[in-house]
Amino acid sequence: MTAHTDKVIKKYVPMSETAFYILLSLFKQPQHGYGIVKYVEAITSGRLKLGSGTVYGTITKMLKDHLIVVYANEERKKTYEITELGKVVIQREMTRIEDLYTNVIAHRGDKK
Amino acid sequence: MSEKSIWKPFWSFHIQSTEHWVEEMAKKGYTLSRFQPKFSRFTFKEKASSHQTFSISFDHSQQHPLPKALEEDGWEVLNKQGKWAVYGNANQKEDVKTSIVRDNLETRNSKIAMFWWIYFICIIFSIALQAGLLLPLYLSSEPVTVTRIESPMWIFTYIMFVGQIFVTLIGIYSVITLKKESKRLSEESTQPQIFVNPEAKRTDLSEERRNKFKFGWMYAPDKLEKWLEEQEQSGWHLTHVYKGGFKFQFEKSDTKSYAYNVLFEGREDSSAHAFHKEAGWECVYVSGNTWQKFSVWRQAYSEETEKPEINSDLESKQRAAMRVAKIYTLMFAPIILIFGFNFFSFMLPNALEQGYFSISGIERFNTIVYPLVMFTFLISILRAWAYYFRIRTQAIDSV
Repeated sequence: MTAHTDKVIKKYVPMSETAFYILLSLFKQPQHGYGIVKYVEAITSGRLKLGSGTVYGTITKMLKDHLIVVYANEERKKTYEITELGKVVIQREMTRIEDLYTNVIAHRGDKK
Repeated sequence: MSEKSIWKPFWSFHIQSTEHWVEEMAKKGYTLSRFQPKFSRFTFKEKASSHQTFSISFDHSQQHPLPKALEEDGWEVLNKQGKWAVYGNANQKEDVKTSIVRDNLETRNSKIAMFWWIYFICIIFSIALQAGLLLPLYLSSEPVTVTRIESPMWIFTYIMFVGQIFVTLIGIYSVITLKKESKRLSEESTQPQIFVNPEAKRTDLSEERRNKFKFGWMYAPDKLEKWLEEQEQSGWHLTHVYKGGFKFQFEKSDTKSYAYNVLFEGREDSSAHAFHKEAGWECVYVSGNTWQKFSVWRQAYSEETEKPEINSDLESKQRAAMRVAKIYTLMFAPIILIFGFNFFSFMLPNALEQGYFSISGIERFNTIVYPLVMFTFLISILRAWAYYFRIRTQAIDSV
């Protein structure tokens, strides 16, 4: 693992809920900006409505850190794609959250 | 096999025609073999080109990543030279669906333009300073004798003079070309156009329509948002924002809840604007200034739903506020310093020494105006920071 990967992991793990859901929505397929907003709204059953400025700002940051890359699709719409580095980062974060989840379940079980 | 080396100065200021030219060369049977971006030199080999479509990309980080989707569409990175890279596609232009995003290039171009403007300001400032020193000599009735000391060193003065004129001409050319280029680049990314002020401006004022003024909201965008939302709640609907952004026209209408958001961007980002529009925001105002782009957005919402926000999380709100505070500090602090230096080291001692009424009219005027100007700019900076701290407190409170 390179020094850059380590640095980025340190910066992003743990990450904010917003950043997590944005990166997660790109995990399986590339999306354009508004696609991310819709996707996150759908998988959180409408709980998380990300503002377009927030998504744009976070995406800009992630582009700079090479977690994602951008290209223009057929409609000349900017589309974002996760990179290998981005996948490493989100996997780490997922593992961390899985850990959280098992602990939550375990402690809930104890109380009952 | 013959080689052709071509010097193309300022090629990066005409990126599309440069790409087109490389494509034409490929059609004629020349393959780009060497690319020296810094020297503006393109070397071609007489050899059938395996690529038909080209794109030249700028990446500050020098990485030049190739998204999978581009790779699947036939794109390859042909030639990486530091921050520049040539991408090629074996397919015909019409068959290539995806394209490379030029955001990094646009940022780079606007930085270059900014550099030249700073250069021009320095030149104008130094000319004004020299004129200020020499003009009184020319205008005075007493004869002035200037002695020119012969020296072989004068040659350097002339060389410097010619050099400076040459550099200035390059600067003028660059600024004009970059302005055109930025228009071309924004036209290229054809996305839904932004219509500013969709409702036509009506000049007839009646009881149903009124104009209101709001000054200096750039230093406190949150207050403008609140003010506009209150107007809507009291039944006055915003119909037009006049040029300059000080005069607002309202029309009597049904009370409706609107969320207003003021955005500040360093450079107008048309794709960000298209994104906000897609997310349901309507743009009511965009300022014309190149370096400090303000835009005002609104969205109607019903009481049952949450109030929509462009920046929905505290981190991005804080970041946006910081940008406003920073830019005004950077812009106004030097002005305050220059005015302050002049005032405290020349004007004030002079006025105190000679007495206010014995100094000349213009000096009296300056002694009054300088502190006023300094004060106005200082207040603006403080207001911008007050805005930042309001947003920050809001962030801390809600945690």
